[in-house]
Amino acid sequence: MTPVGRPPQSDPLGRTMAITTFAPLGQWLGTTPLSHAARGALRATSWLAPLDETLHILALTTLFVSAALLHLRLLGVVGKDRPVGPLARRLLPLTWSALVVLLLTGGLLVLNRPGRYFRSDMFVIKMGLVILAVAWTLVLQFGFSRDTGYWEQTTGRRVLAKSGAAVALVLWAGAVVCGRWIAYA
Amino acid sequence: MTLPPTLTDWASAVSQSDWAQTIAGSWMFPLLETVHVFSLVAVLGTIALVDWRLLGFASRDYPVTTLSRQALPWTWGGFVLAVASGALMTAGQAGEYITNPAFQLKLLLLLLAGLNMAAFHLIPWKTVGAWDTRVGPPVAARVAGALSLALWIGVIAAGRWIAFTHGA
Repeated sequence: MTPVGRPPQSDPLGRTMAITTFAPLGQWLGTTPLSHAARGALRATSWLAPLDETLHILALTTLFVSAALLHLRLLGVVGKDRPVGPLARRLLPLTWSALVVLLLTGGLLVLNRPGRYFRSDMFVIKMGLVILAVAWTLVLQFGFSRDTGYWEQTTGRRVLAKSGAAVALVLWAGAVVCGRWIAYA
Repeated sequence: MTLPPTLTDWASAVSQSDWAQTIAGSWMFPLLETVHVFSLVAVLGTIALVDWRLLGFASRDYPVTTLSRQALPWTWGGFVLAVASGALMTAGQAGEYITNPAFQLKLLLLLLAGLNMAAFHLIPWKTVGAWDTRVGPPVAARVAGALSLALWIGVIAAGRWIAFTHGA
């Protein structure tokens, strides 16, 4: 008989993408000294988990707002009266610093229960979206580092910058959504 | 903090209502959490932009009035969504939430952030024409900016602590 209410949270036969592909990685990670250290620290210090989550949210806000401001400028939605180069030089370092804090604070939570995270499709999708968004940000950074006007110099670059900006905004937003649903799927 | 019985009775009545239980036990709950995250990013992000400008840390080449005019619709839009999603999320366990010290602290910090904003508009904002483009606004404006940042970071932290704190 099929139970009513919410559907089962995971397939016990292990047919989800994450279980078949990444679960062994999570199991191995759980045996590493780093994972033991993370579990020990979180168990010994009751305020570490909420502090870690608070820093994760503050960094998430910094990354999302700095990326959104730059990408909306690239799309021509905001601040068209100012050049994009100087704006990028201010915002990209914020995006990168926030990313480091996100990886460290998120890493602590993953190391605490790696088996659980690497069995979650939502987590695996989230990491995929983050990797793509970071790759795009590297491309963007590469151009701006060569020349502050790099992305405005040819039609091809302008088109690439605009399409990349639109896609990257969706990727970051998708990562936030998946992050929130890890606990439920 | 000891609460009047009428308030705790009302909270448990809310949490036992059908709609509150429906939200708490369905896909609506993570959806509301997602809305809450995006709206808090909009609120905190735009407030921090203006606060940093008031402190003279960033956006120094933007007039304060230009920055706040562009930021405010996002701040208020985000705030309305954050309050609505937050209220619907807490409804299912309203009784637990209102007796939770971290939740009470969060509400207090929100109130203080509101008072700080009111004071900012009543005092330094009156003369904004004189310091709109200045890198270092008057002391009163800088104090309001620093307090605002501290209070909103406190709101985030208190919100995160709710799940790790037990009520009376």
